[in-house]
Amino acid sequence: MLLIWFHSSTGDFSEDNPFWNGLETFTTKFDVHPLDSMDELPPNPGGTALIVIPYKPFVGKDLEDLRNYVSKGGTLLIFDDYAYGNQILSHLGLDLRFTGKPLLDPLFNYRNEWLPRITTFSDFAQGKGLNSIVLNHGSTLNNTSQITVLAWSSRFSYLDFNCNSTYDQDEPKGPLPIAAYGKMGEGYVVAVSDSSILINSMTEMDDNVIFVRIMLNLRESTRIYIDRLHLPKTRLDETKEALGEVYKAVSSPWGTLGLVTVLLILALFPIWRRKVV
Amino acid sequence: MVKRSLILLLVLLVFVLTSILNVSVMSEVNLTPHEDPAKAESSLDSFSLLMYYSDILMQISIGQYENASMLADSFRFAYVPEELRYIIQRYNDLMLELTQVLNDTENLLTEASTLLYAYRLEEVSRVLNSTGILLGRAGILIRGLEDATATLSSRLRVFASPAESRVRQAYNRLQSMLQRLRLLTEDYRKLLKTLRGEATQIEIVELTPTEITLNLNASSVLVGGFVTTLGSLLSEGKGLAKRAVTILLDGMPVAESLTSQDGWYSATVRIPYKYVNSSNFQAVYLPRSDDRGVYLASRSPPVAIRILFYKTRVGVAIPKEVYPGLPMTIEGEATIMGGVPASLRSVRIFRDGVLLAENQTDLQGRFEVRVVTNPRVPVGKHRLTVGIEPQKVFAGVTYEGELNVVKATSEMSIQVPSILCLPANMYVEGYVYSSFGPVKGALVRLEISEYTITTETLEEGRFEATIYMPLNLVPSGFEELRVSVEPAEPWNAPVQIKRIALVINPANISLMSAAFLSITAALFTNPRKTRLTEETVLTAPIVQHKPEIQVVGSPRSEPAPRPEDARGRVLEAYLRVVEKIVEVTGILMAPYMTLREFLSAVRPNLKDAVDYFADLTLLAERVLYSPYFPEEDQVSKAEGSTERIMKSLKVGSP
Repeated sequence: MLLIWFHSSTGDFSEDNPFWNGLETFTTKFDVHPLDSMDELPPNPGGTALIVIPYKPFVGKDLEDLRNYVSKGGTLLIFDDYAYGNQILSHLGLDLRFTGKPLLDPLFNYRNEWLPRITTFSDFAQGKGLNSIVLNHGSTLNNTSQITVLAWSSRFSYLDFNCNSTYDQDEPKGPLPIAAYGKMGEGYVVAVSDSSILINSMTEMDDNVIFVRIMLNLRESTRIYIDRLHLPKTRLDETKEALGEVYKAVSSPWGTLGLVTVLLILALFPIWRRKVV
Repeated sequence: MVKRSLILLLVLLVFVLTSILNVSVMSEVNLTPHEDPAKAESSLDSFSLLMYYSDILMQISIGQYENASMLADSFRFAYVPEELRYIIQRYNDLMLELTQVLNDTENLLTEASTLLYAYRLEEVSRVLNSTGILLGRAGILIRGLEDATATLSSRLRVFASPAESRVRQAYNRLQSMLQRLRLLTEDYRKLLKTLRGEATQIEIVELTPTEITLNLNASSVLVGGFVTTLGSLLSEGKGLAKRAVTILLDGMPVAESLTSQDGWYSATVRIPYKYVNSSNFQAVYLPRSDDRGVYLASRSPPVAIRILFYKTRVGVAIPKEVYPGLPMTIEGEATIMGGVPASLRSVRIFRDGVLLAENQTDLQGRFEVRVVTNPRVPVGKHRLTVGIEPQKVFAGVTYEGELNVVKATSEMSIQVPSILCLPANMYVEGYVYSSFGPVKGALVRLEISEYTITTETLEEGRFEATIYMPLNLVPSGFEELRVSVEPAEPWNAPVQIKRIALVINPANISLMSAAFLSITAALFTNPRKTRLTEETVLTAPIVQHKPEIQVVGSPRSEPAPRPEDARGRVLEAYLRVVEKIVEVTGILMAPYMTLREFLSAVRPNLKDAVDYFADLTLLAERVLYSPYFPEEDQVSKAEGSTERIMKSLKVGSP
């Protein structure tokens, strides 16, 4: 149990995970505050940003909470590739969609085509030191005519519809949009078609940090939140949470009293037993 | 053995548990979301690489040199495996150099053509020579590129691919682009030859030279003022009438005039509002219509003119420090030479190149601009530029200064209890203020141990909060209370204060006591394991007295019945021997002695019998402490040893 308690989290996108697939570097560098429930969103969200990596479907009133957050002035950043980002976009009434198919670039990449390198940006990147970013098993965006596209893949890239890592005749070729934003109410929605750009191993690649900083500062956000509720959890994380609940229960007054009583009984039992003998 | 198995099982369990717990739950997402970049396999797509190169060469072959350069520059973002890095870098360098050379060649050929049209033969000759050199260089570069293409293709294993494969198709395309480059340089050579021919023709024809002069009616002029240029166009001493003469100012045409009957011309030129100290005039004659093929062009020597204008000076007063969200005043005074006020002049103020405000100087040349600093401007030094716009004969001026954006230091005083006994309600009250007065509406966050609470400061900067700390397992000791204040006003800086409180936790103290009692009980109530030191074994008390013979276990009052089984017989033999040894040597077998300790004690006294007694001791020990069942021959041997020992002891006994 001690091993489980003290072992670092290894889950994808876990803010305590210091390994290549965690978010520890990003959450520390940007002072990100995790949320376990949409009820924790501030009532006046102006000047704040909420990052969502929707690896689980949204249920209940979470989608409505997101809509309220954006319409009242918050900036919602959706980092998604193959999961439930379209559920959010649909509920917000936007035409924009994630294609959900892998974007591969056989020439402009980092080591192989699954890590495409993006070098084409719109004017927002001028004079900010942004030259290139690297995606990690990313995707692309669709229906971007009504919003502002921020970055495109190279013309050598393509969408691998049938996931065979080979370009086939009918597959769309680049340039393809991978990041865009649009206004909604008082706030903004920013969509980036790769959730992995925030993980520890990706934050130091090329100008990924600058890109994320620019995304967060589109509306000069001073407080950044991340939705923990829809992130994947490993059994280790779930067990750590369960241990945490046990610790909380034992830390309560009655729990502590019970534990102390049990330990006293166990400690004194040999002495009592010997007396009886 | 059992212990070892248990440890192994524990290690295996931990390993399996850890592996299972690390399994990520990614329900319903079938595609791999990411991979570790450090372990990513590297691969190069030869087809894409060759297609990219052929795209660049295609742009060069159609004269789109700028596009070709941009494409070649973008290549730095492509992935190149380490083993190909050098050759690809060389290939890129060759392409870039070829692009530049062909671009320069085209420009020179265009220039030569223009000069030739204007019959400027001396200049044409120089340009054509330079073009020839460049074309020679281009030929060398193309040959180098062809060799490099062959090498690169070989390294990419292009020639091992089937003819109909995509890679071979890309290679063929690249080869066809190289062919087009050869054709392009061939075209340039032909054009160069043609131009050389035309120049030679003109020389042969021996066109009539012309001469043009230029004078100005003034050596200096106010900016925006007028200058009259006059001069003559002559050919072999005679004036050329009705010829167009172009007046250039700093190389730009500004006027045109027709020569009179005797070849004189005159033009009035307005000096533009460019606030420079001097400019150069030149007159140029270019043969047109019927003059073409008859006269050579001519250009006058440049004539300089001083440009006069009034310089403007400005003095600006900037506040030492400005605060985000608060107004600041920038004032100043603009004057021209002699201290004369620069009145009614436009003033523009920029911060870091971004326009902040616009205003105008008054009749005394003074200006005052009040602007509210952006609440989100970062703290630190910023570049402030104040520009006075030019106005006719008055030049403009720019002032560059530094704007120091700061936030007012917030201070906080709090009252906190210094000792707490759990469970407790920790009441904290405080007051936050800055140089601007009480800080109201600020977010106050109080954190101690794992407890956090937030509140807001009131109108007068006061706040109060209660943190409930229940009984828990946290050890007693000193805990740090952190109070952080985030002001709502952008001009006030955040502040944090820390205080230490002693937290006494009765539950934890009880827990520690229980643990201590447990350890104590375990240590001091187990009588069994008393260790014998070696000294104790070696110096076992040798009690030398005769009358009472005591052996291991209880005293025997009558002889026990003879055992039938082998184990019994071995033990009976051993006991008989021990009795005898005790009788003869007087050395007792004490209750705490082991069989071997007894053997060690009596060894010096046994002489010849010591080996037999040692064997008997080992057998007896084995029978006594293990489930071992001796064979008949071992039993017989033991009984035989017993007889020998008895005999030996009888002989040696006093």
